[in-house]
Amino acid sequence: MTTDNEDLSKLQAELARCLTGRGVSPKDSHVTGLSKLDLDLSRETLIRKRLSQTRNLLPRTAAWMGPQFAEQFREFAETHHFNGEYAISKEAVFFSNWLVTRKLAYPWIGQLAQWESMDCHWSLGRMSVRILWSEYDFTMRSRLNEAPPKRVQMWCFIRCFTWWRKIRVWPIVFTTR
Amino acid sequence: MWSNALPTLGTGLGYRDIYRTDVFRNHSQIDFLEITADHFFDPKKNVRDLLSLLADRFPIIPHGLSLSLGSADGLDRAYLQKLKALVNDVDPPWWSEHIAFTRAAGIDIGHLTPLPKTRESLRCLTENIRIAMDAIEKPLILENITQTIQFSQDTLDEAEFLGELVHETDCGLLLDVTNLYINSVNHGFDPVDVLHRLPADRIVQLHFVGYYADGDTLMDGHAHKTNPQIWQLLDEVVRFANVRGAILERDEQFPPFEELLSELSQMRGVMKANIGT
Repeated sequence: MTTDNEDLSKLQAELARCLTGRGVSPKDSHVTGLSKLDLDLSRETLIRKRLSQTRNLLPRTAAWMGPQFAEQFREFAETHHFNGEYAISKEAVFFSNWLVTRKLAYPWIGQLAQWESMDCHWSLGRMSVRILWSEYDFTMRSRLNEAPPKRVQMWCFIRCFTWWRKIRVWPIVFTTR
Repeated sequence: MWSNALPTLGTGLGYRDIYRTDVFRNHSQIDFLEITADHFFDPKKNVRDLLSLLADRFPIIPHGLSLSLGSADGLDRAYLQKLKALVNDVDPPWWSEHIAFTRAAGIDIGHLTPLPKTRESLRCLTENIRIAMDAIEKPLILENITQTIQFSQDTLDEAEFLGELVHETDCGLLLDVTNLYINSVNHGFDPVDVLHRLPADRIVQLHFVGYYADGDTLMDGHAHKTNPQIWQLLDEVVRFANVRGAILERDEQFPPFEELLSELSQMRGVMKANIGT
């Protein structure tokens, strides 16, 4: 590309580094005319968009976590970059897996997030098999405001497509207590 | 009229693998499909077979995600070659990409990132688009994205920028009506005013889907039913331009297929009422 695009090139590089959390040198920022405020705003806009999309895919988890959902997501986003095909679904799956490792207000929140992310998991491929162990029963869809009852279960989710028939087994449940 | 040289395709769907069976079962209610080009690059046999079956039943439009037409560093030639191979394979009436950049300084942002609306951006886009059009000899239509960043450097408004871009490059417009509406609310302009300042003969294809509100900001989640405001704007667009096709773009929270068919049917009604397709 010609030097005509030098300013644009610098601006894009700066934005790319900013949006992917790679830091921006104040010197570069001065050259391209993007203020720290602009950069913070663009990063914040992308994070808000990602947060909002993830919240949308994990509504019960978000409802139970309240403001902690956003706090946890921002921490997650510092080390996880939004990237590539099916980025939104992947992010919900990765975030739900990440939540399992966190100390949260309720011990079952991470598992609830994994439960909710199952649809995203499914949309990522033609064939999906996932096994989840849980001490809680998350199937009480109508009781959004009640904590899940304690019931040790193993959930085996299987979904696959054949050419003309869609086979959807949802879910196989082994209740251990 | 630029778009008169192109065929009218009608009302279709952005192809998502989750709906594979439904798409074939209901092929009579879907006029054409738009495929995400990137998902069909270097296809294995099963993907090639799928593409061939889809192409037997439907007109197919390849829609690129990551050519990064706005990159000041230039185009990714390997990506362009893959896109070219796909377009040659499918032989569509046109293909489409976004007015955005996704890559800079060797970093893949993984997200359609807006460009400042300046002459420099126009020059950069024009140069890249000429290279892409030299490689792929089918008409290219360019899609407007959601403007997540408001640049202080902007010297042109939305209509001026899009109008000059399609004029300079001799491309058509893929007008994402949902993005137009979202930008109008988030950045405080009148979408109908912008629409009427666009070159009507360049608006070839539309995208539509629902949005959702996050506080006072609208988001293009591609996860909701088309909102009444979008239907109203679609009606306005179809009255204004001789649109050749409209695609419903659903990427998340996949509803029962009947819900999508009902939206397609509604869109078909809008197009029939206005342009008699």
